[in-house]
Amino acid sequence: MKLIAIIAAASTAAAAFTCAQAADTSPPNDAQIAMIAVVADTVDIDAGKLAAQKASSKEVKAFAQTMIRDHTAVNAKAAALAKKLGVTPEESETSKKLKADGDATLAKLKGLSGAEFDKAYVDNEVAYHEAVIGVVTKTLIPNTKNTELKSLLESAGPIFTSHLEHAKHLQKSLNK
Amino acid sequence: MTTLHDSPPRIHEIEAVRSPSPEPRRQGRDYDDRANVQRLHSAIAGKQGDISLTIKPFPLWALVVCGLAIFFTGFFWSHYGTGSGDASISSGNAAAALPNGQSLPADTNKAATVAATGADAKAGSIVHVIIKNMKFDPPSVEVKEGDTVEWKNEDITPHTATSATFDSASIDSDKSWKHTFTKSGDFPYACTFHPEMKAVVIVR
Repeated sequence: MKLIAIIAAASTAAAAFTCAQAADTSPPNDAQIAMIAVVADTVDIDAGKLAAQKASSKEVKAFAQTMIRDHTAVNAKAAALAKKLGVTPEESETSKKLKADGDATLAKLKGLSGAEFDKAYVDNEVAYHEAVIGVVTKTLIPNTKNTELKSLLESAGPIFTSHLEHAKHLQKSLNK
Repeated sequence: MTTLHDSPPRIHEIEAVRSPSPEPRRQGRDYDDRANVQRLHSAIAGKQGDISLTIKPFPLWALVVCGLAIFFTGFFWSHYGTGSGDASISSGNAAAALPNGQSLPADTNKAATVAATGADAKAGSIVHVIIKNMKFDPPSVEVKEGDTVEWKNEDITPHTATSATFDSASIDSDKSWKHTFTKSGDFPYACTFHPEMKAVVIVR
């Protein structure tokens, strides 16, 4: 599955294992897609919370606040929709992998400080958003049956693209 | 004879005058009357005491209720007055507007401007900018001095419309914010949360 392949490329750990596992995975159903979306948001909210505390640059801190604000808003919308549709988000290998990778990234970031932290956080945000955009457009949207869930994922697309541009802009200014 | 004849009635009269029975009765009546008058006076005074609270044009509670009613009417009118106009307009165009998200802002814009001009030309027009898909739409609006620009956030995430001279602070999803432009010039603005979101208001 491309989703797992992309996430693996973005994260540093266990790439070979993930690709091998990806071949066995069938396309996710709507309940699994909802969970993948919620976990993807939550992972970025957690990283944002850490960065809002630890980042030294004012711009990076502001970016982290935007990540918390926006992904929280998307999650609230997703939760409201799941409730309305009577769908209970369902765990899958993909959502578990996302969570595990997110935890690994957090652990790595926690060991850093100052400019080093800022750079690692922003680099991760660029890679993470690139991965998430790929997953949403190539795997989640084409496999989503419910039109409202599909529409929510489609409206999340421009948000993630905006975050990616913002992160890339920061990356450029940090590397100067 | 006559005196004899007259006397008994006199005595009778005197007796009648002297008789204690009518006097106390009259006194009693007087007393009663006085009591009644006193009661009446005190009743009037009491009533006046009561009336003094309600004799004003309106009782206090009625004024408070009316005041609250006027306040809330004004509040909802100012918030949703133009919104309801938009709703009726967009519902009229619903079939055309909903499948094509891009056509809605333009329609709303035109209709809102016309409506505002019709309502009160002196107060200036209201021009709408829709925030959707991480963009200000339209990215450039031209208005006259005294016109108001209203930003409506149709995105999931909060946004701001911020320039050197105005700042909306956070506009949540489905909320609006407006600003009246009193000086001519170009006012470039951006969303402080998403710096790549840029647009401009040109005031002639």
